[in-house]
Amino acid sequence: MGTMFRSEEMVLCQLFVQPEAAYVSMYELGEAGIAQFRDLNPHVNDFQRRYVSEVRRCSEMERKLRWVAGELPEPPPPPKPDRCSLSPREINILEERIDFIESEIQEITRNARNLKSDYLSLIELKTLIEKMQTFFQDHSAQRKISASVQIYNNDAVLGHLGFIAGVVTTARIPAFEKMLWRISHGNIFFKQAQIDEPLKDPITGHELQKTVFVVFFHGEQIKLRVKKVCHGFKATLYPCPATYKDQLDMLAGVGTRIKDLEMVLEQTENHRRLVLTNIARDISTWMVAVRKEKAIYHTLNMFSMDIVKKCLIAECWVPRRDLTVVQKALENGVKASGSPIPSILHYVPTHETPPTFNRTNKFTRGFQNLIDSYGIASYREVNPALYTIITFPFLFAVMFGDVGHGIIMTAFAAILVIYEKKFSKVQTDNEIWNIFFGGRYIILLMGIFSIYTGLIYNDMFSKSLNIFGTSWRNVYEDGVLQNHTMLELDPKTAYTQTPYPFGLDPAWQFASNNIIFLNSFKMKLSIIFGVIHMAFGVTMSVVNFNFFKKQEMIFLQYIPQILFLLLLFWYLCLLMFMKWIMYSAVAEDPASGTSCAPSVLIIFINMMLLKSSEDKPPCRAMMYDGQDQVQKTFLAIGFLCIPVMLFGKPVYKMIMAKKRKQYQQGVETGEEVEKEGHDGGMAEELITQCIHTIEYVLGAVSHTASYLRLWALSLAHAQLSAVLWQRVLIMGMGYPGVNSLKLYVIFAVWAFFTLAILVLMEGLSAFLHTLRLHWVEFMSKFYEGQGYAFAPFCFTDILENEDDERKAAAETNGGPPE
Amino acid sequence: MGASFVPITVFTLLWGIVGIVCPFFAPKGPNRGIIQVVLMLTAATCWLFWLCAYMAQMNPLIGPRLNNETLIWMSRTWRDGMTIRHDWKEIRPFKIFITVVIHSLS
Repeated sequence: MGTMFRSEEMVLCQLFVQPEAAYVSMYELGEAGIAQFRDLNPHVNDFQRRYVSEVRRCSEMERKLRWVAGELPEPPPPPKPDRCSLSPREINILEERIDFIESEIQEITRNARNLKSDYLSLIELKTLIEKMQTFFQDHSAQRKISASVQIYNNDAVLGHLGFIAGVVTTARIPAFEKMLWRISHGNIFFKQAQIDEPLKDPITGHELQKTVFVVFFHGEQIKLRVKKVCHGFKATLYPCPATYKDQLDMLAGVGTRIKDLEMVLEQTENHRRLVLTNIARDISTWMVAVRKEKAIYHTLNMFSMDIVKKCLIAECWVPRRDLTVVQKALENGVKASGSPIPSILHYVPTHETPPTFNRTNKFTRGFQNLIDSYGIASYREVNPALYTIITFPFLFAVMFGDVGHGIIMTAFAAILVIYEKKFSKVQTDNEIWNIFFGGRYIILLMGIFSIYTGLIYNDMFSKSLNIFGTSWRNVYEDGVLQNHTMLELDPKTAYTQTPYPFGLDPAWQFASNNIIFLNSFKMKLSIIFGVIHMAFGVTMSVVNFNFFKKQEMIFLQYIPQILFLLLLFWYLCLLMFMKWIMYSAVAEDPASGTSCAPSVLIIFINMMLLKSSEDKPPCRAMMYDGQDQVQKTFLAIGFLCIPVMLFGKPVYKMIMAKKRKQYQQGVETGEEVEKEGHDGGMAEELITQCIHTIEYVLGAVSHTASYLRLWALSLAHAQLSAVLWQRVLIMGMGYPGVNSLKLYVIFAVWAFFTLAILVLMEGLSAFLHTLRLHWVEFMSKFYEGQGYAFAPFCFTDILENEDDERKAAAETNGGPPE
Repeated sequence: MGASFVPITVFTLLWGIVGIVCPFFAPKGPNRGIIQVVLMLTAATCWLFWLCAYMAQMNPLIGPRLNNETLIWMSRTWRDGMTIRHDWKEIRPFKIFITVVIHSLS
């Protein structure tokens, strides 16, 4: 049954590789992704390993590249496919180049920053002077101040007014003013004006709101204090000439300097952009190369070193089918290094449990994930994913059966499947989308099966299709029809005696008693499929017993289990089939007529409770002759199976142990210690077996009942769909003409709820119930799930994981780490 | 008895072909086994599902309880069940199905 039936056979290999050849070999193995390396120096600290300096070098390069990538104005293009490894020389060149680029960009950035802060202070000075001019000139009330200031400055006469001008952050102005007022006891004059255009901080790039201020004061003492306050409030002070003429001169000077600086800044920016665009093309490719390099050295660190022979020893799990690939990689490594000593591959026999590796393709991966999320299969155990491909969508469809909803689901999945190449290129963090996209083949099959079950249920948005012509016809005269609103069709007369050939008869859709009919049908259906599904699961265990050479378990466990299930629960299913065939409304014998049809469930309960029921003429209590004896026999055999399940395995083990001991005693004298140890094991064995048996016997009952969820969910789905049609869409129908507009709106409402509730939510709940039916009811019958997954050294996985980690880090830190 | 020969044969044959004949013609390759299992399980589940629905209606013990308007509408628009069953070749889906089968065989 191909690759999926069991996990792959794994081999533990030992590789003896020359250090020179190791790098290329590892590169090839990383590309192939087929070997899981084991850490041979688990006790060695990470910092004491052989290739620590290389790993550190790669990390450093990676950090630099990441920083440069963060400086890029737009995300870099994806890496070029490059499938050959870099030689150590190329790596050195790359490292130098990355170093050079990083320092160059840092240099440019630093220069740009300096220039920008110069530019900022010039702009501030310019605005300051402009504002000052208005302070000094425009207000007539201040003429006096202006005059006295001029005198003060020109003549340096004490006792006149002095002033200090500067720029301070707008937010600090109120506190600043208050503080000035306090220190001078109100003996200053404070003027301020906000700078209208916002300035940019050269370092952070944030916008700054600043205000120009002038403080007029009297005396040196206050001047010192004012300066201190200015310093405390981080105000920038600018020397400002007092006379108008000087101010004009200064303004002109500042203007030319600003123009020069603007030019320089523009050139710096252009240069920076040029450098960045030059490297943008290659940066992803380099990043990939560096990460691969790092991963290789990381793996090489797990190897142990044979000091005498100067060669590296590695241990890895490899699927047996891929051994040739490993061999080839080793040969290529030797060839590339030109070393005369070949690398050696060598199988190690081991008792360790190998990892579980199921080779999947894009179609089977989704199903395998469903199984793996329950538990990774034990090594070489039967893999239920193979059967899940069909049973999962089918059981889902039993609950979700509706042609219309199935078509919607199929169309959605078909779009995903048809354009999968396009979609898979787009990497998103949208988890819901990724789940849907990852499960597109599951959804597709679920949709197709829903269409089929919908056709059988004859249900399309709660309406039926009459393709083959109904089997029911109207037998009532016009008079009767006029007098009664509800009429029940009698199967004796109104039924054509041949059923609707495919699915349920469309007449049932209109019937007010259709739930009675549907319940009886769907309940029986659920039990029939449930018992078959469980019996299938139990039978799977035979394959495992055969494979693991535990043939005795077939008799000790499988046969009693399957007998118990079939004799009790499959018998129930047989009774259902018999009831469908034997009892008829048109039967000549009244004992098999409508009124005598027995309830299968009651027969089953009576069988379990050993109750005998009596004939009530013309009806018979039993469906066939000798039924009572048959049922009692079945019950007896079924219950006799329980002690076999309970004691079979422990007793068998005990006998085997005794035999072995006798044999050992024949060879050498007995060992007391082992015997004691065995007794403890025996009790434990009994308890485990007891738990298993109870679980199975009770499980057979509860799991059978659990399959009734198929009926419950399918009923709920059909009813919800009917309610939505009758309560919502019907409102828009009726009188033609006026209602068309209303229908337009109501259809939108109906379509929305159909999608949101019936397809999405009901689909989700049916999905979860199907998952449960597989995990609990089906897989508990044979699946151990004690394995661990195969995690090969594979570049594509490593690169993807790092991308994810980086994204997560970026989200939490709010930016690329520098 | 309510069973009718034609539909039982048609659907059993149909799913028999899918589940028993088709697996022999599954494309060779690593996925041959998977395709065979898929075909067999599909046929088995779908056939059994259809069979249950068919058998549940073979001998109805109760009839649908219908509105009188629905009954009138049924007898006017849906032709009588009996007549339709005898000339089932006239029914379009069957015609399409048969032509598809013939085309695919030739």
